Amino acid sequence: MDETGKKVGLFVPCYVNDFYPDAALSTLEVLEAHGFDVEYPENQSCCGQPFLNNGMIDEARPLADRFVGLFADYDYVVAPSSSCIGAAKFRYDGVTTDARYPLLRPKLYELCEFLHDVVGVGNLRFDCSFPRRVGLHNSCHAIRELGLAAPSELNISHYSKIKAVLAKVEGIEIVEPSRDECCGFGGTFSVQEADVSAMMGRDRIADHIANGVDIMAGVDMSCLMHMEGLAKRDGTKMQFVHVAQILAGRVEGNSEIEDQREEF
Amino acid sequence: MSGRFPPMDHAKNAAEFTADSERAHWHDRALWFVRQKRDRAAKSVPEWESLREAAETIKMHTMEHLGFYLERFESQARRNGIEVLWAADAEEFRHIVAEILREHGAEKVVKSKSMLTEECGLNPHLESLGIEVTDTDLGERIVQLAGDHPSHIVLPAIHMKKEDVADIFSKYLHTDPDNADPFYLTRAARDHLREKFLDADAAITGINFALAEEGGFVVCTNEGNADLGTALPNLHIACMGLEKIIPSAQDLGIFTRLLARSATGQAITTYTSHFLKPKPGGRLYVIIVDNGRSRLLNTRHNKALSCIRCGACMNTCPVYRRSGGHSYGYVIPGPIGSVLAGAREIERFASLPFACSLCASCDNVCPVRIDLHAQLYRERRAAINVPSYGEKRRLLHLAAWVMQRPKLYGVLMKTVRFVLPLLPRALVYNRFNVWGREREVPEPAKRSFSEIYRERR
Amino acid sequence: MNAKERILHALGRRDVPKELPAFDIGPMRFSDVGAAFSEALEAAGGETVESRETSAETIAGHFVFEGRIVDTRESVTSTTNDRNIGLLIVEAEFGVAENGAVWIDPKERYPREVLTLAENLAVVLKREAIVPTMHEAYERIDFAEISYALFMAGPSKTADIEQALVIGAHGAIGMKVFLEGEG
Ligand code: SF4
Repeated sequence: MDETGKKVGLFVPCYVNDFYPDAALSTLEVLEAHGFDVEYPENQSCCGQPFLNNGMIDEARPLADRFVGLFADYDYVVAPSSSCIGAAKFRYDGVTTDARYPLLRPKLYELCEFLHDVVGVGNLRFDCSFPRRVGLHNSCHAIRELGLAAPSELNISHYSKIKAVLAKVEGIEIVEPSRDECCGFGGTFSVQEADVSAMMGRDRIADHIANGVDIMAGVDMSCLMHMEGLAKRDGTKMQFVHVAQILAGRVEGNSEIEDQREEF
Repeated sequence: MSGRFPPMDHAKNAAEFTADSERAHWHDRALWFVRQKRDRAAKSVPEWESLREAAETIKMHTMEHLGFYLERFESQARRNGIEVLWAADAEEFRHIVAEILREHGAEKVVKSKSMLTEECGLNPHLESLGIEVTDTDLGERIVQLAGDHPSHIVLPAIHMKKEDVADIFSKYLHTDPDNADPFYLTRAARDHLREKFLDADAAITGINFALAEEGGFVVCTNEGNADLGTALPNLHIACMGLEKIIPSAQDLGIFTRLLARSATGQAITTYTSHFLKPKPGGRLYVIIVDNGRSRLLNTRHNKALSCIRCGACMNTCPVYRRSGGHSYGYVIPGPIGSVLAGAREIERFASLPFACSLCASCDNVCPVRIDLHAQLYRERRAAINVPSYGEKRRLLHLAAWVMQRPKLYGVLMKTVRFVLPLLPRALVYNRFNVWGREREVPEPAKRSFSEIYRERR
Repeated sequence: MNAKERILHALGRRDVPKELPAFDIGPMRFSDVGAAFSEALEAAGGETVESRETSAETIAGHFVFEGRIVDTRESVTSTTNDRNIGLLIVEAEFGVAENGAVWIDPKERYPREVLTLAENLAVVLKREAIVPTMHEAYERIDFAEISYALFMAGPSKTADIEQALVIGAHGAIGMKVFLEGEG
């Protein structure tokens, strides 16, 4: 089935909009480059996750309703965030009052999931190369909630949709840390359990450093924001980017000049 | 029950644990090592995931017919010559045990591991009656001598370093205080406890699986302490929470394959012992304890009753590994402990559902597939309404109010993006900025994505 | 109401259950159960000895110990509180390949405590009596005949001090399984 030309609603997490717009822009570009008619509906807000995760259903409800209302009519809904998609996909039951929710649900995709499952790995074209060693941050919502990769706990055959998509970028070397463990962001967990959260984040960073990595990529900017904050505080040399930014060729070191430099 | 104890604050306890970074990292690594052993064991069994599904189904089925299976167990056990007693709560349980011991004139008791007796405060009660209770599991003996509590349900002394043990043993077992070799210390404990075994008037054990159809039960240990303890004296009291029942011995194939692999990565516990009848000339009692379990059964936490106490959820929990078992302030720590404690007394344990980053790793290791992280997620609805979370609730409420007004939110964030870079550092990193205590605040973008999008059109 | 009635009342759920469906586990299989058994037992800290001849004397030659030998294949006099069993010889009814466990049922022919009091344990097992997994193992057991019996996999052990494995906690310090019959 030809999926090009289908209408995709782009959801941009609230903090991404203000702090990491490049991740959103990259997502938009990647989707458009694969022939989709992408729209970013105005007036979108938070998916409600912080409230859901704190048991505040009444506060989350209008946000869930807004989400369903804005996105119900698209063929697909894509976001550069597995945790927001996870929230909308698995946490809206009994929260939203919008009857269209059950129909919207199967149309919700995290970006890599969309590229892998809907576009298909064989159809992916990225006009860029990225000859760097990239540490992949396997966020929990991506691997344990959305099933974008096999989590280490389960006795199932290994796969990773994120890796499969990212590997289509020319020259990239993807390395995974020794543990596919939580980075300790966890939304309000990061402030409520600040000390454990910081220790978890630092441990993840150290794991990547041990792999000789100086750039970390993931599908959840929130995890990366947390680790970036820690790395900056500690003076650790590590760059944090969204996978979409690499796919769109919007990360430095991704240019042809860099490519040539590698060759010389 | 609420109000008896002040609310416990997991984050505060955790901060104390992480403050000693070296020790916290050591704790983390020790338990991660166990988790890796578990992974290898689980992956050596191709049918692992089907086993977990079967175990989940059997447990759910048993819970659905719990009354039936318990009565069946009682009548079958009686036929085997086992005396079955029921205790509605911790107090009744303590009383029953004390009565049995008194009837038999037992003054020295050896006990093998049972979280239930911890939960019900059995040791202090018996000691107050002048009965000597010796915990015989090595880890439990260590914490008993230290005047401490287990910090893990399978590895009770995992919070202690071998030097701590050397220190305690030198006081009580007169070992060399400078020799912290685990082999040396274990041998010393063996000799010390051998005397206790030979001297005991009664043995108390827990129960891993009670068999309704056969009227017997199974106790799993690696040390052999339950076997040695129960074989010598003529009195054996076995204690079970009422959720320990399974329909029949045929189900043991599934559970024994899962338990040790999940717990320590062993293919099976060294001793998997089946008790069906009293030993010749001896007496065997089984005490079935409720203590809040029947109430749990009729709540959304009923699935937590399927727990077979393997400890895997603790070993995999990134928070538990870095905060230590004692930070939970409840007899059972970690993910399952947080669920059980919260279900029991949310006012006191409101911080536990939040002591979780919702990573869901626990769900994946649990051999009976308890949806632990989902339970904690749901438990937050009750936790957030506890008075101590008033301020957090108000802040989130305000945030939600703003979020429901995207235009206002947009203007606010634009202001933040503009102002934040201009502010002096001391103002941004003030004492209310918990985020900024350990981390830098992200750099605001010059233009938000919505602005870029609008211009791009 | 007494405690039992109160608990059962609170539980409800007393109706007779429908039988559980049979599970399609498809348990693992081994090309050589004997080899798998040996490997698993070794991992559990034990050892297998191929042996055509299992006299007490031959078996004793495989152990270093002090104290006396108790061979439960002969009649055993009361040994309660016996601190001096250097080697105990018992028969196992069958073994389990996936985990190296042996099923030992004293059948009240010898007292239970000798199994844990003995410093060393020699288990005699017929090679053809090894089943692949615990599922087949439980099918073999007639619980009506049992008073106390156990699966034992290797010597007693503990890792309660800093996760360092120490063989010999409360029970046997050495455990070897003597496989009888054609290999
Ligand atoms: S909840 Fe599951 S993983 Fe945790 S101790 Fe119980 S059975 Fe083991």
